[in-house]
Amino acid sequence: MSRASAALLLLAALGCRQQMREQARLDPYEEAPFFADDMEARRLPDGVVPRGQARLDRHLWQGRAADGSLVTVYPFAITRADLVRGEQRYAIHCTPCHGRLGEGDGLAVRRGYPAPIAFTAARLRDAPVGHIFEVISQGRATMPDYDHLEIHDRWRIVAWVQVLQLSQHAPAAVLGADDRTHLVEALP
Amino acid sequence: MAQLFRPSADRRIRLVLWGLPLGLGLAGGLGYALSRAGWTTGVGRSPAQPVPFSHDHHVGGLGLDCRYCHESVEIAAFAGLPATETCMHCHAHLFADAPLLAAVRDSWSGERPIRWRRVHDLPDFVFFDHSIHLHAGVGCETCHGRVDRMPRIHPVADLSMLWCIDCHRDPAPHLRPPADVFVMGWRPDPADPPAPGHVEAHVSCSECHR
Ligand code: HEC
Ligand code: HEC
Ligand code: HEC
Ligand code: HEC
Ligand code: HEC
Ligand code: HEC
Repeated sequence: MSRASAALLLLAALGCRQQMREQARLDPYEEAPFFADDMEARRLPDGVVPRGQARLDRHLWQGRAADGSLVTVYPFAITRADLVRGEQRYAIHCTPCHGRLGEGDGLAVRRGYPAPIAFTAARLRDAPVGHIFEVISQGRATMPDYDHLEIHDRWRIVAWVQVLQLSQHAPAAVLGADDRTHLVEALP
Repeated sequence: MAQLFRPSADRRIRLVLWGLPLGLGLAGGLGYALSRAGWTTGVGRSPAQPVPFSHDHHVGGLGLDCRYCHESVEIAAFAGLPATETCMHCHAHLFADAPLLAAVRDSWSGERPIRWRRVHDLPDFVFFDHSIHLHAGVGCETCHGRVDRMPRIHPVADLSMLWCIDCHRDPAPHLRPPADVFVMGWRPDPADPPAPGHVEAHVSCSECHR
């Protein structure tokens, strides 16, 4: 008798199901056979706009003014904190191709990715901020789009691109007295 | 009255008395060793992936930041795994025809996600959150090791409750400045060590089992 119950217990232990470990809910990224595409993460059906998330502000979302021209000013005031954030996001998403200074010599380019032009090229220095924003959001030729980046972060990156342009192409007249002295000392 | 026990009974009782604890101890030790071994905890093991993606090449070689691919790690519980589009940023033009990347291209043209096999997987009854740890200053390296030197990623910790609690009792020595959590191979500057912050111990059951 006791031997039989011991055997039963052993069998029961073997049949132990890990129901607490694998609960009947979907974790992020888990396979979901219930859906045709097998994905746990659901996409919005085409054409659906979540309540309160309509992208009505053309300036913010498209970098274009009401008349359809590219904007020349930012949709919100850029503060020092925005620049710091922009520098960080630029380092994460743009340096692999454009390099730290925007010269177009990132590590992916050194491994054979088509080289972008330097941000200091005259055409880009003169371009309205809306253009740089649009390139980030939509891509251009061999440049992929980065429309998954948070919208304000995209504008902060634009601001950092302008910092890179200005810092490598500033007329001496805009420098402070200190910086000008340094510059003169550094000249050969 | 007849003798109840023969002289040999003495020997048997001694055998049992010594044997029982010894045997139990041995079995316990073996069980413990087995439960700690990589074979059961999965430490050092990397599952076969649909694409032989290498952190060694992409992080160590190309210097990509973790957040290029694991986008939600700072803001959410789940670190996030890269969408196929993220790989295509570069591989649409770089090694665009390499056979190694066939599964990436198939996923891209078929609009099906690449099925990455999970390397780390806590039981569902444990709550874990990446963003909390990053904001407190625990580096990726502290829990995942030198990812930038791993051709195939594998766990370096057993993710046992003991492992979590060991740190939670006194996290301070494991922390770094939050700005450096993504850095691999971070060492405190000996000349200017970061001020030891004070972090509460988090050991009540309901914090992880909620
Ligand atoms: C995978 C590599 C890659 C990454 C990452 C990348 N770019 Fe580019 N980018 C390019 C290439 C290549 C070009 C040149 C495209 C062309 O031929 O017009 C380019 C061009 C540009 C241009 C110039 C557009 C023009 O009018 O000529 C800007 C501005 C730019 N990128 C900004 C960015 C910013 C900002 C980021 C980060 C969010 C970024 N790029 C990330 C590859 C990249
Ligand atoms: C170019 C994209 C990319 C970058 C950059 C990247 N990873 Fe990953 N990571 C992946 C992919 C793809 C996987 C899934 C395949 C695998 O497990 O090898 C992954 C898996 C992981 C896993 C295991 C996930 C699991 O299933 O448990 C960890 C941990 C990880 N990465 C940490 C890091 C850290 C830390 C960094 C930064 C130092 C980093 N990754 C940078 C693409 C990337
Ligand atoms: C920033 C550009 C970039 C991104 C993004 C990128 N790769 Fe790569 N990948 C490279 C480069 C450059 C190489 C060549 C690395 C080398 O030889 O050092 C490479 C090589 C590879 C290889 C060949 C084997 C190896 O490791 O050398 C595979 C497979 C691969 N990548 C898969 C992926 C997958 C999967 C993703 C998306 C999770 C991805 N890559 C994202 C640039 C990128
Ligand atoms: C305190 C320890 C700890 C730190 C710090 C940490 N991770 Fe994790 N990571 C884990 C654990 C535990 C899991 C398994 C989570 C699960 O199974 O639910 C995990 C899982 C992952 C995964 C798989 C996806 C997921 O979220 O389950 C990725 C990718 C990852 N980590 C990347 C990173 C990156 C990148 C960093 C640094 C920015 C990082 N981790 C920092 C402990 C940590
Ligand atoms: C290397 C140290 C370390 C490890 C390992 C670690 N943690 Fe933590 N954990 C921390 C720190 C530091 C905090 C934040 C404390 C604070 O901000 O007060 C934290 C906070 C948490 C919190 C939030 C507590 C709350 O309610 O505020 C949870 C949940 C948690 N950890 C779960 C886990 C789990 C589960 C594991 C194991 C899989 C783990 N941690 C491993 C250091 C660690
Ligand atoms: C810091 C996070 C953390 C805290 C706090 C914590 N646990 Fe856990 N616990 C875990 C993790 C992680 C596991 C899963 C370990 C594994 O995979 O075997 C676990 C597993 C367990 C298990 C299941 C063991 C098994 O083998 O299935 C029990 C029971 C448990 N914990 C009870 C408790 C109790 C009781 C407390 C409070 C005294 C507590 N835990 C506090 C993280 C925690």
